[in-house]
Amino acid sequence: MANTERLAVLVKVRVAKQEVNTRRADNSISDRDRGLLEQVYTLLEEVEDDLILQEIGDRIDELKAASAALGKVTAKMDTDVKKIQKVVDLVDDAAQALKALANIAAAAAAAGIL
Amino acid sequence: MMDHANTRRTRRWFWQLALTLPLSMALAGCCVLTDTQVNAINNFAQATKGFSASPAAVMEAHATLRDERGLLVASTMTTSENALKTLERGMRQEDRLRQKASAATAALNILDTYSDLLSTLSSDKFTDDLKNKSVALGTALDQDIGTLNKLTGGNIHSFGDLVAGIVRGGGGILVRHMQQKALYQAVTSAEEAVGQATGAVEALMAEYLSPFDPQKPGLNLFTQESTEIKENFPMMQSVVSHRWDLQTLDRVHSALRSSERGIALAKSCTDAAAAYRQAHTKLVQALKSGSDPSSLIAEITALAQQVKAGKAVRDELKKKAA
Repeated sequence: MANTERLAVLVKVRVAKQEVNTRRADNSISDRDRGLLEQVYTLLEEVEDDLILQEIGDRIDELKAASAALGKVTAKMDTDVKKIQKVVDLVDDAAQALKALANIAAAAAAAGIL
Repeated sequence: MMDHANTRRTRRWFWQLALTLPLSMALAGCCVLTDTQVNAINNFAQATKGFSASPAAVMEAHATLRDERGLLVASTMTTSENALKTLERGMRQEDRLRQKASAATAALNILDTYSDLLSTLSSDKFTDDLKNKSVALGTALDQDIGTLNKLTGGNIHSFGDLVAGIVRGGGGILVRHMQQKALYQAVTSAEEAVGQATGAVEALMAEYLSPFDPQKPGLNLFTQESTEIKENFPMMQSVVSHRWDLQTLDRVHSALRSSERGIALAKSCTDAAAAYRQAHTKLVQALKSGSDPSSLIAEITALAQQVKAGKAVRDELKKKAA
């Protein structure tokens, strides 16, 4: 159902519920009629709940579409963060390599190889 | 074998350093962003933290109110079947609305991710990390020289500090340049998506706020809940005492208050979404024109206040719900 049609139906449902409530509040009606009006009220409420849910669902879909568009930007940002971190890690790699060289040289000297 | 591998690794690193440092020096003269612009992005990122939580809080507040209304209306029913149906309908609808709130939270999380990444890219994290690692490099180099002196009986002076300084300076320039470039690309390319996301938040909140009009989308959900409670209120009167008992009055009072708080939070979300978009648009303009973004302070402050105001109402709602 299109958005405008859905809202038009919702207006009618709400007007009908209001009417049913006014009649239910009337003390002069019979118990049987009151029971029937209550049933009508619950049916109208069911329709109203479904229409509301569909409308909210449409808004959430819009939110998801926007979020997907921003997701592409954040994916690129995430890649950039990793690239920058890689440059920083390069220095650490070098430090580790130099440490390993010193250890090897010291071990070789201790073993009488150098 | 290991010796060869480490020698290769060290040689490769020195070549990379040799190529990188002149590049860094060249980049020093062509900054993408100024420090003020980077600070403005960082302030924007800080101000937007927590923005995404409020729309879902509005939806949850409405879901709770819908269930409460089901209970209050059920108390006006005269047959057990109709009372139970009304109660169950309220419960089911609350569940379904909460599911939609979870979906909204999942979709809006991307705005938090965007804030977090802007925060990381505009921070000193990388240069601080580089500083620590360059110190470790200098120490390792001095250790090598010490070992070499010991083995050969030579007297080569340590130059670890010097290398560390060069790496820190040159590497820092390169890293900052990379950060600035990434920030510029991110903020400018996010303009349309941020507009869409904040627009979608406003459209969602309009369902909870706008006066009901079939020509203009908006379900007026909170006011509708309180209207229905008021319509049913005469039938909540005790048939014995012809009065409303205190418990009923208390529940009706709480429900009407929740409706008011929900409206306040939805309004605050709408204002925050508009402030978010406005501040982001100005940020993009400042980056593209290369202008001083100090005029943005007012926008960012307003945005931070809107987000904070939303959090205050959200906390109040949570406190009442607990």
